[in-house]
Amino acid sequence: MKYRLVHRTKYTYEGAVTVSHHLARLAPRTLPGQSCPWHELEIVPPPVGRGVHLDSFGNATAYFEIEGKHETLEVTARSLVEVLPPAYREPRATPPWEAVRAACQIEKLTPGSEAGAFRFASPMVPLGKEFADYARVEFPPGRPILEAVLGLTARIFKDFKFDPKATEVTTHVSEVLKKRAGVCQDFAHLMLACLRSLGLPARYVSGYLETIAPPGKVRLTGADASHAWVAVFCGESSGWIDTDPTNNLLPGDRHITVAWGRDFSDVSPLRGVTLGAGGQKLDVAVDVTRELDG
Amino acid sequence: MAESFRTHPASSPQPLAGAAAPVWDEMVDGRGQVRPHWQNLSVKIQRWSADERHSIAAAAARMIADLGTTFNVYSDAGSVGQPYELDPIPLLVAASDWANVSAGLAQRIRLIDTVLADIYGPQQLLREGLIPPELVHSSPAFLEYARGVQPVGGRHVITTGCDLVRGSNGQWTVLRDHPGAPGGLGQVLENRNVTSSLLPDPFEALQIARLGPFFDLERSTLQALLPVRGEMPNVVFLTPGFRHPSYFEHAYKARLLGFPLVEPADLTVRERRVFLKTLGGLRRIDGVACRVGDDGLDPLEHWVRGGGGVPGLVEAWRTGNVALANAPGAGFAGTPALMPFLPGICRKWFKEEIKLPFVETWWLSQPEVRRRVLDQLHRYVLLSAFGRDPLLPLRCATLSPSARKQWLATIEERPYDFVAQLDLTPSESPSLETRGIRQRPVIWRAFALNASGGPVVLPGGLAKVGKTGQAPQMWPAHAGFTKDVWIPDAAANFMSQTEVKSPRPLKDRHPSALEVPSRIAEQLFWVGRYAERIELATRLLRVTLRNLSGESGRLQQEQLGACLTLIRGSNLLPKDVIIHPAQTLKTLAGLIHDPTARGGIPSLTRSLLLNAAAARDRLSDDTWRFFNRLEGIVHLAPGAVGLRSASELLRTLDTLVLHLAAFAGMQAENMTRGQGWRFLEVGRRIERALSGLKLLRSAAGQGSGESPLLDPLLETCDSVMTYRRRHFSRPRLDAVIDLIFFDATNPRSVAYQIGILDREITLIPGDPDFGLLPKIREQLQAIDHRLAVTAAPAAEDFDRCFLALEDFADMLTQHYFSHSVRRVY
Repeated sequence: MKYRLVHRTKYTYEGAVTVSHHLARLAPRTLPGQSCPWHELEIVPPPVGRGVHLDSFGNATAYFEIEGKHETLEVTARSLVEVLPPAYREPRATPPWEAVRAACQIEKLTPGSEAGAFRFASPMVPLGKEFADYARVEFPPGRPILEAVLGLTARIFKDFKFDPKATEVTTHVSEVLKKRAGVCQDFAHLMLACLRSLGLPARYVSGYLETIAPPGKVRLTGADASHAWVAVFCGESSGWIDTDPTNNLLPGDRHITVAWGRDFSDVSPLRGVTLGAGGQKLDVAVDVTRELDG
Repeated sequence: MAESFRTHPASSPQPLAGAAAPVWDEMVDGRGQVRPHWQNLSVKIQRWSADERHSIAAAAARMIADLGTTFNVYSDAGSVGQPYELDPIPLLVAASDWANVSAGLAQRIRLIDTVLADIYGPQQLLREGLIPPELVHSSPAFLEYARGVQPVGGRHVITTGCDLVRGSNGQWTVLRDHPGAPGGLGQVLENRNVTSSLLPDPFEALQIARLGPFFDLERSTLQALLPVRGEMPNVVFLTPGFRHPSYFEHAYKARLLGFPLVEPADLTVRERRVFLKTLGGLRRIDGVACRVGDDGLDPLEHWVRGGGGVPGLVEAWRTGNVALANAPGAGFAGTPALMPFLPGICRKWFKEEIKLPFVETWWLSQPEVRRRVLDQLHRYVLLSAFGRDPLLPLRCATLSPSARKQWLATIEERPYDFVAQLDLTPSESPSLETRGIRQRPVIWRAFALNASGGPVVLPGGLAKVGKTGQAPQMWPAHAGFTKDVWIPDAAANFMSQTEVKSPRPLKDRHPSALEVPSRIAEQLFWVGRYAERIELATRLLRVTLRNLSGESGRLQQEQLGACLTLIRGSNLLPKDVIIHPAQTLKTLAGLIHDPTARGGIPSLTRSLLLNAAAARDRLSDDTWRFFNRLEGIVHLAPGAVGLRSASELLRTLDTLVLHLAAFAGMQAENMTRGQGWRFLEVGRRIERALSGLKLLRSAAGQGSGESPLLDPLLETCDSVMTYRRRHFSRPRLDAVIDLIFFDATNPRSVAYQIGILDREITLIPGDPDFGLLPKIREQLQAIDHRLAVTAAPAAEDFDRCFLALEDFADMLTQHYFSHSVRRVY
């Protein structure tokens, strides 16, 4: 499926800002099932210093500075993306979850153990017994990992209420577990905490959902801005498999991957530090539309 | 796993014996003989009489205090923090031991740098199984953003510290590495200054190795990190700020290296280059000697609520536009979990054995290791591998069965977070204590420099003195006695091993060659203002107390009331506070001694110290000594404040007046007329003019003619003598205004201050539009005019002048000082 993507972020500052510095991770990744033939980042006012590098997770990261008084900052990312639905993987055919865990614990870095980097606590994802206990029902001994992951995905979807008022960007995961409510970012963090507390490698994925449901399809939750979900390592042969606890499904060709990392703090779409007093107003608009001619 | 188990030194160099083994005596050998390198000093210290011991200890304490060597210049209790403590008896390290340690540490700094270059680069060590991947991935000190960055200068570690302990086998053995931001180098030099001056004879006789060359080399190494841009490289010393427990050391070290001491807010990144904000504009910075933790470096890369750090600094580093020493992420190599793997890496990659043995240390993530260690847990101190467990370190031998069980469960849950290190007793060395010379356990922090020509080790270091019976892993980081470390018989001559050529000739350069950072100017501006505020309060309280302590005639009562009016008018007390006559003395005592009294002298002093602390490297030692004393004068135990008699309070105020005069004198006679001085002066002049206006306003509010306010007013303005010489009558308002307001020859008058401001403002760089000074002058004329026609200007006239001056101060602030608050999202 081909998509035309527009992600517009506008900051309106109360007092004029004299200098500001930013990091943006807004360029969709190029992956086996996803290509991004075109991407541009428009910044108003125009930045003075600017550069792009790949961060340690391979996300294209744009750095820019704005100098001189400005009262607004508008960052618009426009991309064309083509997404192919991933091949079906038979859950029962994936290895037992303990085998995946053991493979990541070997004391040498190998292609099969590299994913092990994603099984530890990270700035926004703590580990703990409470998370392991919540997930344990789905992880009886010997259960194929993908089956267990699907079980956990469904469980979070069923137990938790989607409620944008329940949490903030910085809400702690254990509070999410107590409140049984949150948004996609919270569900992703919670699921990561569960999987990692069991010793399984899992990463945070940020991206977009198709905004407008095509005829005959359900409108997916979380489509008004950027979306977040989880990828779980399912052994060397199955590799990383994405799962979306907010919608209780395995992402197909309606999920567009932008970046991944240990948690939100590694991939936040736009981060900035401005010099100037006063508050600020934020407007974000994301449009994901199908390119019908494709 | 089995691999790394085999490479553990338990099978190569001898591990240190446990706590039960005999303790190594630094000074005396097993047969009761004084070791050769101690002979000179041991004779000397054993001959000390009780009096001599006392006077040497006192001299050491005084020198530390006098040097202003307080680690914690400012403490939250509102008083000057505890000076750190120095034991004047140095730790002597025999030349042969030094040679081993020096060679070992030179190898170790190379090794650590190699490890860092690999884990932030190709991670070959992980692929070869020489470091378990888990050790890297579970460490919060491993910085994702530092991956793949080639640090400018090619090295991750420029300076490292290494804690060494000597066990019963007599070998100096590594306890812990400090490659992150190695603290203590500044203290080493302070200790050397004090110790060598207290023990000049042994210092000369023993031919103690000198430290200077190491610091010279450190300076040139830091300057040479970034390829030359055609001029002198600019290097700054970055500290988190004066609230950091090691702030003083940062200030001291910066001055020693000749680099400006800056805080994150002083730096800015423009077009991916780093600049220092100075009064004269932005100055390009090539290198940063960094004492800010990785989490406080750049809010863009390390998201912390509330910000802090220099946004864009990491991008500037990533793109090779600035050198950071040590490189971000170097602190990773400081985890004790890495120690057991270093010998294997050294053998495989360097093809040599590791030279420095280390205290038996195990990372508990490896099941086989864990099983063995947990079987005999009582032999170990449990450490946090990555500092995540605030309850650690713990001596396992002291654990109760239930606590032990709890820890075992926690270890099984996340074993990678724990390290077990042998519980051992360090060697003992003589310490000077009140009751005599006692044997106390010591550890030695040695330092190495990764210079461009090769590693160099400091021939000395910082010895820490511990409590007998306490494992050295448990000693507090920022407390306790320290000592100088002496390497006698400097045949192991330091210079001979520093055949390191400076890559290009470097001229001596004074820190002030980089202009004054704007923030420093602002701090000095406030130092000037607070000094003047304290003086006003002191003089005003003194005249009030004099009236209070005299006979209680009607005249005195009236004068006292007048004084209290002036005190309220000067905001020393809230305007609506009614003071019961019987409580007057207590209220005044509170203003002099109570740190919680708003507007009182202790709170003003604290504000002065806060600003002075933040401008520490711009103030001379004498000035600093003055500040330290200032706080000592007003400091009083809370219960004692209410018991002070009027005459005691007067004595305190007299002392304060003299001290303030001494500071003003120092500023006038001893400070070079740089921009720093100028802002201090401008702050002082603005405040003095404002004080005069406040007093005059109170007097003018009382109507014309003779007023009981005029006597204390003249006294507060130190103008009694002048008035009496000119007028033989009781003070009259118009004459007082003439003297305190218009008289440009009276250094206490408002006009005099305006005159100085007029002159100094033009010498401040930049081209500001100071249209406000004319506005102030207009006000002066208006008052003059009113005086001519009515003989009594209204209080509002002084108010207008006051506001004009305040506007001027605000304008100055906005123009020169960055007051902006940062938003982080």
